Amino acid sequence: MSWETCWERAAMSFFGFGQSAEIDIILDGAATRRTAEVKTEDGKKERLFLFFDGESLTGKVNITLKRPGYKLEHQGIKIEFLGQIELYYDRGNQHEFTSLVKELARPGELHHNTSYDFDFNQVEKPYEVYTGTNVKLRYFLRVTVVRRLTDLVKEVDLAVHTLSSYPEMNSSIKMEVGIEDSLHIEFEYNKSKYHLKDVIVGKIYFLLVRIKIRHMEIAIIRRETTGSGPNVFNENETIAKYEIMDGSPVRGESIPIRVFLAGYDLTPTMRDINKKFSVRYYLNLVLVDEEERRYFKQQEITLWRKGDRIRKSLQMAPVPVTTPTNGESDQVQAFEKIPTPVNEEPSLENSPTEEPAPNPAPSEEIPRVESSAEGVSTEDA
Amino acid sequence: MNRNFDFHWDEGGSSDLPCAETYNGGAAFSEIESRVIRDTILGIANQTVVYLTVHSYGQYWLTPWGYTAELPANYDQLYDLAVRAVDKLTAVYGTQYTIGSSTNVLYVNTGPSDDWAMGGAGIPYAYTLELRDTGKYGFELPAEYQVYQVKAKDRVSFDVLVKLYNERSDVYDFWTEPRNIDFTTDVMVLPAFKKTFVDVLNTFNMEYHIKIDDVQHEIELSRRDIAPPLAPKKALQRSPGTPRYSLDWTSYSDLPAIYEFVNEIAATYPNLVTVTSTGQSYLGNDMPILKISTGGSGKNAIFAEGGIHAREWISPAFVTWLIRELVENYAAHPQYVDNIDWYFDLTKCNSAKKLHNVFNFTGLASGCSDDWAKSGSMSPLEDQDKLLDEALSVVKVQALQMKRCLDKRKLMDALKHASTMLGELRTSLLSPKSYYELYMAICDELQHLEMYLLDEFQNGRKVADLYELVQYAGNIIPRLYLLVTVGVVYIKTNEQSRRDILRDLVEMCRGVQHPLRGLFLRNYLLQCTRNLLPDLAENDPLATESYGNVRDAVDFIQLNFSEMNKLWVRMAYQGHSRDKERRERERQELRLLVGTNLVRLAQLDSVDVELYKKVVLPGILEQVVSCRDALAQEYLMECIIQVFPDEVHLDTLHTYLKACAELHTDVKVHVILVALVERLAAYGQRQQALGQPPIPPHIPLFDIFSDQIGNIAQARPEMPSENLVSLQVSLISLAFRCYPEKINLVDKVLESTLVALDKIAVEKVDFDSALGKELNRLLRMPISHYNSLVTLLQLPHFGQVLQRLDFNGRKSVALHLVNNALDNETYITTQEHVDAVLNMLAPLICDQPDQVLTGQDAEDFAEEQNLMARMIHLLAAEETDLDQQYRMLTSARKQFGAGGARRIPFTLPPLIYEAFKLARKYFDVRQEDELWEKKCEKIFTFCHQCIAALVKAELAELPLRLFLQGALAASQIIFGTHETLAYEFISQAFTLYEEEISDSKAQFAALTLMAASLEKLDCFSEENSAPVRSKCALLASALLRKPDQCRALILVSNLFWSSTTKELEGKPMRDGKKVLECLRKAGKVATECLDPGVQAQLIVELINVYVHFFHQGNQHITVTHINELISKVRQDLLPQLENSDEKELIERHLGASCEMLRHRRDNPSTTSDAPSYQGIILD
Repeated sequence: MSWETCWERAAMSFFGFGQSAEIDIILDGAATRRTAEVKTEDGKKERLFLFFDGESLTGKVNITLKRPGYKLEHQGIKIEFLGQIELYYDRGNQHEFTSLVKELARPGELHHNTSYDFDFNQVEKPYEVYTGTNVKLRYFLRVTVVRRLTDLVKEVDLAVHTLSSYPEMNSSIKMEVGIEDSLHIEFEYNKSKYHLKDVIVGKIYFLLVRIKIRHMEIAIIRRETTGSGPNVFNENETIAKYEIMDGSPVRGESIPIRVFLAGYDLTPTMRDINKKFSVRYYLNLVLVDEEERRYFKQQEITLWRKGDRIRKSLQMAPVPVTTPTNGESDQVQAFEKIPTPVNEEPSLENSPTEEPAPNPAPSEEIPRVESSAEGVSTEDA
Repeated sequence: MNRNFDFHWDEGGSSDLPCAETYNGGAAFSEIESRVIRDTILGIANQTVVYLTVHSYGQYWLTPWGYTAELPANYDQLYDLAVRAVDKLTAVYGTQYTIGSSTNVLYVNTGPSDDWAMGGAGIPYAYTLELRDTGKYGFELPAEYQVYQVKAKDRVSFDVLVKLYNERSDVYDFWTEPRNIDFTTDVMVLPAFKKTFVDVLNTFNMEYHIKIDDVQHEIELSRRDIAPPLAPKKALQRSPGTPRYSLDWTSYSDLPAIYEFVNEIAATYPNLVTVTSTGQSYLGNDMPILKISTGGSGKNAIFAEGGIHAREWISPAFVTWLIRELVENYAAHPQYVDNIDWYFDLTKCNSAKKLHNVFNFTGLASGCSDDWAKSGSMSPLEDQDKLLDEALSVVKVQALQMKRCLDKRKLMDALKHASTMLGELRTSLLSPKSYYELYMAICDELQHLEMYLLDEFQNGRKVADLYELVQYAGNIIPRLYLLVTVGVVYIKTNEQSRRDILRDLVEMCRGVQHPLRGLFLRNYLLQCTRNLLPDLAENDPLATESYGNVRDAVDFIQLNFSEMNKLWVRMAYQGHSRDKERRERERQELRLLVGTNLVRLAQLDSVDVELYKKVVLPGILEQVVSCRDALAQEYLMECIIQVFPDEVHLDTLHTYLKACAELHTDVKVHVILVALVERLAAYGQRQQALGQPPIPPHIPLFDIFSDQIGNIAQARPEMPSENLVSLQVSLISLAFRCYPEKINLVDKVLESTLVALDKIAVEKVDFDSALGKELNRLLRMPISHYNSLVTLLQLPHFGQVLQRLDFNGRKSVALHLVNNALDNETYITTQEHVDAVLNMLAPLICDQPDQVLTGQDAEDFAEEQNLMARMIHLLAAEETDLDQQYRMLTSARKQFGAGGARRIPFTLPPLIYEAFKLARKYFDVRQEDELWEKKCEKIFTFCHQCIAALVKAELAELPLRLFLQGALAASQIIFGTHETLAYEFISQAFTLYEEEISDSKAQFAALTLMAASLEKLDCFSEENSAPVRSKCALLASALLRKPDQCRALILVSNLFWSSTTKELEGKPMRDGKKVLECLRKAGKVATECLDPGVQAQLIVELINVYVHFFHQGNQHITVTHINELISKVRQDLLPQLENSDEKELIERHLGASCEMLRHRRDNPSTTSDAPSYQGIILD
């Protein structure tokens, strides 16, 4: 024993810290278990072990005494599996939607490094982990060694993905929208529900073009809704901006759309999670004309997480529409037009700021809405 | 382009990079120029024994092969011949050429033309000549050529530079165009202008230095760069344009000069030289093949070609020099041409400007102008260069980083840099020309990426992920360029269905709707996939579902084509209308981008006639018709004609022509049709030359055209009539070339022209109008084609069309007709023809109701009428059919008679002479024709009338002569009344003399003629003859001037001596007394002259006459007479004369006479009855 070690022991004893221990939670099959990246609150990402709903959590808790030979007194050792939602504006008030406890040891003393097996059998994990702007949903294991003064606690965060099966109803989204006498388009997305590695395939058919379009893009918007009643907070975030057309088309042109979702940071759509929050996704089709006026149409899409990874098949361009569908005959939807410089639109890291639009709103800035049944406009001031 | 031949193509030593000198073209025979060589050689392969391709610099005489170090089987023979050739060269110029196969002497180069010529076409002797590089004069640029690098430092001097660039490019060869202040410009200066140039530079305070001191030297240096495939390009190689000097073999020539030379030499030596055009190169230049041959078949041939490499200025010069030597110096070495057919391919001379992108770079360069300044959307001219430079520097930086990342195998980062680089193509600020430069720079870099990816992924790595990965790029332009690049790799690795990928790529490109950016993107797609299309027949076992077949290839190109065309058309409607002109120009510059699609379609080998008919053509036409844009339609329709082979055009005429009728009204349909007809006609001719029927018999080519042209005319009532006529012109040309034996077709065309003219209610067509010119062309075509007036008469409508022209027009055509008939000696043999022909020529024959009364140049008029006179000699019936001839003459007489007083002096005399000739002919065959006497009489009556007509036209001398001539003719032809007739003619002549001729000189001349004629006449009896003679003497002494009197009397004296009468039966009259009387009188008249000089002259003449008669044995003349006269001259007259030329002349004259007399005196004749000259006093 070296001199330093002697001194250390003496000091610890002298200052009365008493015995301390290290707690490790070792999950079964950790070496082979898949991990997933989960965003932390500060925007960084960490890799966590990944679990799915109904999966059992088994493993070992190792308690390593820091000073071998000395005893550790405790009031009991337990392990908890917790799922909680934290609203940032209401810190400290965590809502636990899942809480399972297992007693590992009755109160007593530990003289040696000890190891306890634990087993949460087929745990229900109803929601997916989520870290948003205003809300966070997390799962974690917590081992507590209860002591008189300060408990020894160890928490391990877990990633949970909720898998869905292929949706039974997955109709395409097809719609004719326009501004009377200046722009009529029909667009189609092949599905309304996409899994996270899916590809949005679609096309846009120009029925009438009397404005000078400069380009067209598709934005994927995430809308996080928290709170309820009068205290509803909406947070919109543009996840992706994807230019799908350059230049001004003429009547009769059809433009293919193909967006690979796998490259973006997306989560499944979450609706009314534990009555606390929702995360929804929208496809926003934006046309920008030469006067920097923007016309857009949002469509909600449902994102889901697919079970097994299947080798992607090559996505090919859709066969162009040769005739516009007249099915929804008069159901021409109105475009939203952003009359004033849009500052709310969050810009991506890479995308240059293209606003403000120099043109103040002309009188016909709000187009006549011929049928607003499905018109969604959320990008309000 | 010299790596583009399909014999061991692309096996090394060639480059995939389009801008390299050794670019292999992407596929064997992908370039139209090399295909031209191929087709031409294959056409003559069995007779060709030698193939020469001329290059410059190296002093090598190279044999195949280029692809391998092994030697060809006949290398010994090849070597032998080469040694002999080189020995000759050494003997003449002292230069040593290295002989050997290209691989062994130089380097491996696959797919050059000589390898192909030997291996592919089976020509036994194929050589590459690398011409000498040092020498006294001739092929090098003179060393004085210097290149200056000039920098303008202010606006004024920059403007000066631009002015030089625009206006003095003949002496200053700008290698880079002046771009801006503080940008350098390279200029090559003619030695003679060096000082001027430097002066200008100093005056305007421009910064300059000599960049290249000796251009020749630099060229040789740059030549070495060709060997490695990825040689860095020097400014020298990049600079556009070649020197522009006329073709004189002491300097280098540009393309127009070469073509001018070719055409010139072909026109000058039509018997030796023929030029065939093989269509147009991508740069729109003609591609002539020149053949030198004395005709005949079965001869060996030599095929030579030069200028296949860009910037080898000397090679075309050598070839043209060789042509000139063979043709113009033919006499010096006829064996070279007589025994050998030479073929020269001049198509490559334009390759200097050829880029892989097959569009007109120079066109783009010229399109850049001040108009940019006015354009709102794009930046003004000054900014263009700055913007371009900025963009290019970004490209450079990003490309460098991309390549670094690739080296470190960091693919993601590399792609990111590539994407940033491609982001530069998103700009809207550049003009098409600048955008093109940017695009080219980026394409080069993308090639690197593609090559890397290909290397990387050929070893089993999956491209599918990459294909997805690049699609995450947020901006569409970089995304699609990357997608295409990766897609190409994807295809090449054979991982996924080729068909699907192609379809995907071409569909995804729809996302770019901006015309300029879209056009270039799609062009990139087309270029990248040019060798990857599934060009396999549908039943080919290799054409699996996933590989695709030719249908897929066609669909791919067609879709790309129609999208590009739409974009192109859309350009016209963007921006302000005041910029319309500029936009049109830009569109013209970009048109090749669109046309390339059609070229690709034509290059698909598996497209057969059936597929072309059912799919390819209808697809193209649908797009062309539906785009409703005149500029596009006109270009594309012509493009179709040019790029697809003739055979398929024949099968699809109906479809094509139907589409023509539907084109926009602004389209010059006639231009298109003319081009088509021209092409088919040329095809027909070629087929004929090969011994095939010109046009497959099941295709009624002519009828189709003529129907469709009718339809088009109907469909477009607003089409200018001249265009309609020009269509007819091309129809005629078609008829000539493809249906040479069917003359009725030509008439049909003329008829339909008439109908067309009726429709637009044009009665008389102004000659100077466009319509008039076209009509004129139309009419001239059959003239020049048949070269026979008589054949034209088989075209009943020819005359009718002719009548539609106004006077000037008709006259011009008539002149052409006459000249043509004279040149070709077209004889007219029947009276009907005479009538018809002369009807056509009416404007030359008589006054026309619509004649313009403006004064015509008398000389021109005379010229014109002389032609008509010559024309009369072409009236010649069959030898035996004299009656016909007579009828023809009377017919002609009737027509010409109407010509009025101005014309008949020209036209009637030849007619009269023809009549005399005819009478003589009757006389010759008098045994066969009982009525000949009557007919002769009639003829003379006819002549008499003719002459009388001339008299009536108040002419005197001419009819007088004709009368005399008539008398002579009548006297020679002995028939019943010939004496009476002759007398009548003579008496008419005398009457005319007395009544009409008053001028003394004319009188003397006429009298001379009359006397001479009388002397010759032998048909008169004494009763008729005596009065005429004495009348003559009377008239002689009645002349005004004494000398005239004297001389006339001398002439008349002859009448009494040598003329004859019927009674004397041809013996001369020998009336010595009368003769003496005349001479006495003459002598008396002479002495009455006051001027001693004249007197002396006359007497000397008189002496001679005396001597003459004395010698003839006139008893009444004695030596005394002569002595008297001699002494009179000697003693009286000569001393009076001052010394002058005149005196000397007279003395000499007299001396000569005396000399003769002395001779006769001293050498008395031995014959008994000869007069004795004894007693002549000479001293």
